[in-house]
Amino acid sequence: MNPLAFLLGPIQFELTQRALVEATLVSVACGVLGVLVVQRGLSFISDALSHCVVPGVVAAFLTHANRELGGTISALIAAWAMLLLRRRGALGSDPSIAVVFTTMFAFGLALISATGSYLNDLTEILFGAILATSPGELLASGAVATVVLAGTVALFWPLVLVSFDPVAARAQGLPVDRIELAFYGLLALAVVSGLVAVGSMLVTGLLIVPATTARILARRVATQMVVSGLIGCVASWIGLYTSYYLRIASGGAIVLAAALIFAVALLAAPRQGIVARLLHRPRRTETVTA
Amino acid sequence: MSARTTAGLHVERLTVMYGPHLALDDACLTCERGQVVGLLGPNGSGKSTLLKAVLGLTRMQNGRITLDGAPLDRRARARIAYTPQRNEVDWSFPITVEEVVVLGRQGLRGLFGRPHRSDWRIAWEALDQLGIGELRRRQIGELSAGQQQRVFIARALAQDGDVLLLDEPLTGVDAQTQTIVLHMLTELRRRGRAVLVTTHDLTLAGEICDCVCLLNTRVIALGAPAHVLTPRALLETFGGDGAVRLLEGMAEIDPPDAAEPRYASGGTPARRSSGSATR
Ligand SMILES: Nc1ncnc2c1ncn2[C@@H]1O[C@H](COP(=O)(O)OP(=O)(O)OP(=O)(O)O)[C@@H](O)[C@H]1O
Ligand SMILES: [Mg+2]
Repeated sequence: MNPLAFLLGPIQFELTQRALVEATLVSVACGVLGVLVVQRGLSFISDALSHCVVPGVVAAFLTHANRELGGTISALIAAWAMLLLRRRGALGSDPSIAVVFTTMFAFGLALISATGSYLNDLTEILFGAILATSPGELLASGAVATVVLAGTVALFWPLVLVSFDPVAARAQGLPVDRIELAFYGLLALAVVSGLVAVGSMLVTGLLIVPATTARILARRVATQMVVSGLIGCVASWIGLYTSYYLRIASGGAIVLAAALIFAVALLAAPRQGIVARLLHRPRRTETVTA
Repeated sequence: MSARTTAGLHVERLTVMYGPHLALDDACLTCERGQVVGLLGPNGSGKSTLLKAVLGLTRMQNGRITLDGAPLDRRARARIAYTPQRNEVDWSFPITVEEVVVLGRQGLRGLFGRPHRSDWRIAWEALDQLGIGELRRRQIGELSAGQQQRVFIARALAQDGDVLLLDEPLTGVDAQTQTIVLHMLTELRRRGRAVLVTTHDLTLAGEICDCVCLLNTRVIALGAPAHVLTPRALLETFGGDGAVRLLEGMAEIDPPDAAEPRYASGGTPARRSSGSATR
């Protein structure tokens, strides 16, 4: 096939154009915020939150309400419940998160199984269906992604300080609790924004995989965010094109593309890559005899 | 002791409990502008707790803390710079030394603020002053412990607060850095800052501090070094062995015999009822 036709193929339809724009916004937003999520060791929380949006989305499905709104509300309820359990109970952080998210997910499943055609709807919620989504929904999730991106950029320095040294932030009189709340709010919104593009099961991949890749490639947090956003962007394009031509699920294709980039970086990164380390490994015999 | 007379930091009747454990009992302390106040006491005597209570990092059972006569609210804390005794930061965080130092000014910049060019310049000057200007682009976790300590002192300096709370800034740094820090303290005093510094170094406290506070859960003595650093008050604060060892190390300071330390509780020091038995 002629390369130009190959590139133009998917974007000749308005539907696919919108999908591309939406997927780009979502993966850039998740990539940028993901750097802080990974650095703070919150991969598990983000995965848990992505399960927690399910009951809200189901409720929105059943009442023909906005899916992003439903997902956001249930994610916020879940985040609040997790915080409460951790503070009040003598439970550790991990079990309280696990209890909340499995409960929420089970509730979502129970809700949707009460309707007739639930398998199709469930598949769409869990795995996304970007090409089968209405323009209104695409717009909504793109808007949520934009809010995540703008919020992360606007709060960049306070977020960095609170993540790096919360004691200093508090000592300086910064509203640490509110900054943390904003951070978890942005995380919940990021999870919600990924529903359409990759579905609730894989949105963690968008948050974690590009950010982990960026950690191998860059040293400063701002640079990592740029790199991670770019990787997310590239992954979403590769993923959508693959999904278009090979007719595979877009969510799976996007996260697979991100994983592929990760694998390449892991092997070939200039300083931390496996190949570079093998090449620069000091040889013991030489140093002893020298 | 009236708190409204002078500008500076005033701690009145501060009591802090960790669960059932009494860490600070009715402590009063004043740190005026242009003064370096030394906080001395054995391990676990509540020195760090006092600093943390001022910063709102620990809850106080009782007490009042004012800065220039006004109660210390969250916003006013941007005017107080602090270096903790032990930094509990994420050492693996991808942040450079200069970024750590410039973040000392985030409280001044506010929630949505970003560092201006002037903030970067101030951060670099602070790093130069601590003699680690050439390390500014290194990742914080890649520095030695002493270098890291210097970075956090530079951060407090860059904050340019009216009050500085330094928790053992001389512990774990080399002689050259100690000289730098001591010079810094006198310079801060000259610029009219109020400096509260905890230390285990009695000689230093005697030489550089305008005022010394002997602390052991409660304030044992408070006043000019020559008046406060008496064998009797040191015995009361550190117990027998501790005081002897401290006094051997500071033979050059001769406390005048006539001068009595000002006892916070009023009359003569009563024997500590609790705590002393465990030592
Ligand atoms: N987070 C905490 N929880 C419970 N108890 C604490 C806590 N922090 C301090 N303490 C207790 O409070 C007392 C005072 O501690 P603090 O850290 O203020 O001592 P310090 O004078 O700074 O000692 P050091 O010279 O070792 O730094 C100690 O008995 C300590 O055990
Ligand atoms: Mg201490």
